[in-house]
Amino acid sequence: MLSIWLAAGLPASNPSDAPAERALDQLALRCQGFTPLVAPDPPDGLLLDITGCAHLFGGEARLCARIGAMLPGARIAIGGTAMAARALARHGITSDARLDTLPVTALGLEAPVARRLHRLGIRRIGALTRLSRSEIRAGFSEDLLLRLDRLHGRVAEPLHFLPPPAAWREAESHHEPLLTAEQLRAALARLVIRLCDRLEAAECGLTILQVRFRRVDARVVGETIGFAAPARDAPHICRLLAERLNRVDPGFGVEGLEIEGEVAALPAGQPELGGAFRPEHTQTFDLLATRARLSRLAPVASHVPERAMRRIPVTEPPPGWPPAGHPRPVRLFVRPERIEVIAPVPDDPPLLMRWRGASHRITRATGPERIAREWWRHESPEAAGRAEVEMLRDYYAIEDEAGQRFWVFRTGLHGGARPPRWFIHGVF
Amino acid sequence: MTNVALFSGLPCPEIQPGTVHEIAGDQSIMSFAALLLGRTRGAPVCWVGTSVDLYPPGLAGLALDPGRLVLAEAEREQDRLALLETALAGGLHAAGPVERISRLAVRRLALAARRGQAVGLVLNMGKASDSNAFSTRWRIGAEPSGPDGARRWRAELLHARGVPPGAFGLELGHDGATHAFDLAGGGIARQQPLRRAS
Repeated sequence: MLSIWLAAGLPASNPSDAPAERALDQLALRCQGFTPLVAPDPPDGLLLDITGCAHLFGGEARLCARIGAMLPGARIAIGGTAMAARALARHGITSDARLDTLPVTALGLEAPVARRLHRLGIRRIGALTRLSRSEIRAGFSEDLLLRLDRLHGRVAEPLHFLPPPAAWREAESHHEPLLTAEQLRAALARLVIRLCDRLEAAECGLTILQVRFRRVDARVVGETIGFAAPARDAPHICRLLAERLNRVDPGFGVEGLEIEGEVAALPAGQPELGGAFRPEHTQTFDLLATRARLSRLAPVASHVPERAMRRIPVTEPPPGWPPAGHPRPVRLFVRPERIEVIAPVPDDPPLLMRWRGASHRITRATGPERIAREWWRHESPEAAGRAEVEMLRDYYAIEDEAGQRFWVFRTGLHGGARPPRWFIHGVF
Repeated sequence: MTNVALFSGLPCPEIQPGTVHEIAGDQSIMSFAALLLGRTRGAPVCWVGTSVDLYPPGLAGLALDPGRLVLAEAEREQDRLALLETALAGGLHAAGPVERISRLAVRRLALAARRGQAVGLVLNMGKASDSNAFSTRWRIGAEPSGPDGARRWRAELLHARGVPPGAFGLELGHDGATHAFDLAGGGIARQQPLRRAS
């Protein structure tokens, strides 16, 4: 945590503005160039959370130097906690190690407490730290203990960070908490319409929309909606939100709502007239996505059946599939299931198959179609030591007496170290 | 746009856009449904299920372009029914296994399909329902292949408006482009009138 103390007072601001606070907020906004987390520390300070940011400016010392050049006369210090950084900056000390030598007044104590400490001879923070917790609690207020805990980072200090600059955000606050679904829906509709008006002016559309409800019991609940294509159609977005609203628990009431979106370019006008590519049915996909996981299947160039496809998001254009070649099942099991078969050796199709407790007498078969493993892929450790022949698969399309068709395979060959095993991989 | 010219030459109704059908039977209903959906044109095909294990090369073999397929997976049955309805109303052809379907749900699906001018298929692995809100109800079973290895189904038309029920043998033709059905066994169309499903 980095603290800035404007020892020379705030820079002169426009007198018509609300004086001090306004100038401090302006400074805080400028400091957002160093870190996204900047908290004004009234009356005349700023706190910057520089965790993970200092190296971007060549280390903490050079970051301090840059801020110093921007704000001449400001005192800057870096400490482990906000309280420590604040105290160090106010006393012109830059090293965290000398925290104990600071006077107790650096904790920002009220005057009577500070006077009592002074009378007791406790002048430095180091002396205060040596007292036990129970002694401090008995002799002074709980507040002193809290400040000490915050100084040493045992208790987090709430800071009012400025919201990071979000361009596509709309928010509403209510004095009376909103309770019913109708109220929430109406409030959301207002926000969405405002956002969509702005999006239209900027020729953008939403790709992701986050909704957050700030409840009166200080909890924030939210929902996130993804769009199949950039959207800025307010009725459509409201409809999607209404679907999701069922999952949101308003608790004892919602006192604040905010929506925030990520956007992509969406040109205005008619895409039919040579405009950008617009996939069809996107509004239907958005509606479906509120209840289900949506995906498309795209081909992968692999001759191992289960690796020949992958799932892609529905937002991508429809993949092109090659025309059908060898006979393939309509359903492919995620894991091949073990079956018991009676089959002539060495490599004939089965005569009898037992699967899921039922026997099937095989009357017709085509095959074998031999598929070897992909040796260029890393195999699991237990498979690495096996012989190559045990990883061959001979596939057969078989049909039983009733006309049901199955896709089965045999791994391994007769005469190998392990007897061949049979699996069913799909049904036609 | 959507045209299912599948049963030309059969004494049973064509599958029109804007209708919902029930297909009951054993595991072979999946391929039968894929075959029907392959005859639709235009809109994507939304397949609704808990975890869909369709295999695209197999669908391509039944003339259903896997690129048109959109999978929608949800755990709860009522969600899946809502998905079917949303997809149909939005103009997507939709199919999915449903275990129990009420008369009201069928009616809703039928209205949604009419609005979107799409074809809906409700697949039922168990006993066929008795709802007449479906445009047609079929019971499909596998039959041993023909002498040349052509795939065959036994199709019972349980209900269709204005058409008497009947049972047919269907065969998948070898002309890979059209996949027209022939009547198995030399064109015996209606083997016997069926008793009403009890």
